Amino acid sequence: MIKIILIIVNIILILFLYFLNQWYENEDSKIITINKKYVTNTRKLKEIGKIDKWLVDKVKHNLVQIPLDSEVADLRLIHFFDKYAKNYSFLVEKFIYNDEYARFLNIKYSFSRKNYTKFVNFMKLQYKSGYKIIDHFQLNKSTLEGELIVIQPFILPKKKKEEHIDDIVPQ
Amino acid sequence: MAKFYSIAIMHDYAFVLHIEEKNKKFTILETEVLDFVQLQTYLKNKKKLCITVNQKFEYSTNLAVPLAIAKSNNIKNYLFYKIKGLYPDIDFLLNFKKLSKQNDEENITYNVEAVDEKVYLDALSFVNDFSNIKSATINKFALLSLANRCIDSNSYICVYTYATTVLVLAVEEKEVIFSRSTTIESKTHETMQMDMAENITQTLSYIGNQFREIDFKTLVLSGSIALDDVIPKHIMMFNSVNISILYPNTFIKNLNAEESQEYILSLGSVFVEKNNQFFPKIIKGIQQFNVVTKFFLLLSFLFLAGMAYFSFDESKKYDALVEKNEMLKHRYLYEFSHTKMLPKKELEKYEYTIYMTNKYLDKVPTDILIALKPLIILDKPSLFKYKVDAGKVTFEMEFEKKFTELVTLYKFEKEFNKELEEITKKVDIAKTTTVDYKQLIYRAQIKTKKNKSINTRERRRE
Repeated sequence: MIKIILIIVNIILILFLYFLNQWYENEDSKIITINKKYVTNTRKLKEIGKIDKWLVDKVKHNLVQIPLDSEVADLRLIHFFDKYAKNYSFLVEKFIYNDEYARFLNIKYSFSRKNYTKFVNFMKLQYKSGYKIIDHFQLNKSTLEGELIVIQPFILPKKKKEEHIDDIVPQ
Repeated sequence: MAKFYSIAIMHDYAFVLHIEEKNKKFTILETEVLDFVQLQTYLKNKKKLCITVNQKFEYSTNLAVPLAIAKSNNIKNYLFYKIKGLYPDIDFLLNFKKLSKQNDEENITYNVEAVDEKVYLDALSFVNDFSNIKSATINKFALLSLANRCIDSNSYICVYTYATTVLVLAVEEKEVIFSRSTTIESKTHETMQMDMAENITQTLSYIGNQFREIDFKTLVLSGSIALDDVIPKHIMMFNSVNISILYPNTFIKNLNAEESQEYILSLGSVFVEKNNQFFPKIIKGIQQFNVVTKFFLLLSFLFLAGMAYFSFDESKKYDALVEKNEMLKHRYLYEFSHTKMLPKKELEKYEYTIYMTNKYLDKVPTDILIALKPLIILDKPSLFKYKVDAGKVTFEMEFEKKFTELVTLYKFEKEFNKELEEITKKVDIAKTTTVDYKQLIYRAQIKTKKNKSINTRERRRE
């Protein structure tokens, strides 16, 4: 009788240990999943830290203030034209036009290459509200001439409402 | 080392020995002679019992079994039904042994020993738990087993007496070939002695006549007769045999000669061979059940140990994982609290700026200008123009330098050409260089290959 009781007790203990093992295995897999998430998230946080540091160090100074109004955007372009028109013989090549994310002004330029300081200043010329690119550049013996495109970032109000920035930034 | 109890039942008395076995030596720890009625109480909680009981009905015979019956179970059934035919009302317990000497061409003769199962089981009713029975037999086999251990002779006659009982065994090659158990009824001790001597003498004479070919040289006395002077003298008067006393002094300790005769059957029950034991089905069943439960108990302990080991292993693994989890959690929380994350709105500004930069500044052929810089340092170009059209850059450069000395021209040409070669490796360009040695003029023209304007975006990706 004692043996049978012992067998029953052992069977109960075996079952208990079996279910305990099952519980351990389930918990193990849960913890492993959580641990993997911790590792991934920690790595992500490190990456985020690096990216944010890079953004602050390398990109922050390039941030431009995007005007909310198209008129303000246009005026900024016009002011830029007017400011340097005399110096570099600016001529409007193509008046303000836009695409989805910016407004543009194409300007023809022309000046003597003999004035080296003027040449350097022209090359250093910045459009602080946006970007300036030299689309055409022709340097000959006496003159420097070509075409500038001045870009004023500006998102159309309709776009702002409809799209999130994720949609317009290529992945 | 094992301790057990050996019990012989004779005339409503139980002769009990408590024995310890160590290296095949037996030490008597305790002796008891009990009334049969006291025995059940005495044996309470006592395990490992070797039992021998007296049976009034003992059937012993030699039976021929046809050669065609070969399997042990079939032989047993054949013998059982043969005896059952003689005693239809009795259920037998039987043991059988092949007699090698008496085989003929068609049959094999077996010695059969049988007892009435019901009576035998009644005789064992004092046992509280049948699973405690280590061995069980009848008195003649207990006596035979002890005599076989003590007597070297090949054939001998063994006589055991206790009170009014006389048990005579004729033994050849360690097997009983004849046995007789008689009860002597006499009024006085003297007449009892004479009757006993006469009975034994007659039995010896019968054995002599029955087994003429066997020379029984030794007469082994045991029990009360071994302590008696009169009966052996009378026996010797009529029989010319050597008389020996059964005294197991070589392997049994702590029991003197006189005591040992009282407990001869109890001692004998310790050495009974398996094929001389009688186990009713119920006892066998209980013993088998016991074996099975022992097996399962052992198995359950093994499983339990295995499961305990795995659980321990799992718990260690779990603890390690929990510890790792805590560590990773702290590392994550540390990283979380120490990472300055930019607000979403600000991030959107950064993203937008990067996007704009990629979209529009990609058209600026900065890297081409950087690549051409070494030539510009050597000489200012007389013509330099580039055009960006749909992300593709076309450019053209002309150099014209006049020299006063040929050596300067020579050195310039070498250096310019070297730089030009370097640029050619990086940028896909068409180049034309001419040197007018008469006028000491070096001319070079570099331009984008026809139909191969440079895609700034692709080149940057390279």
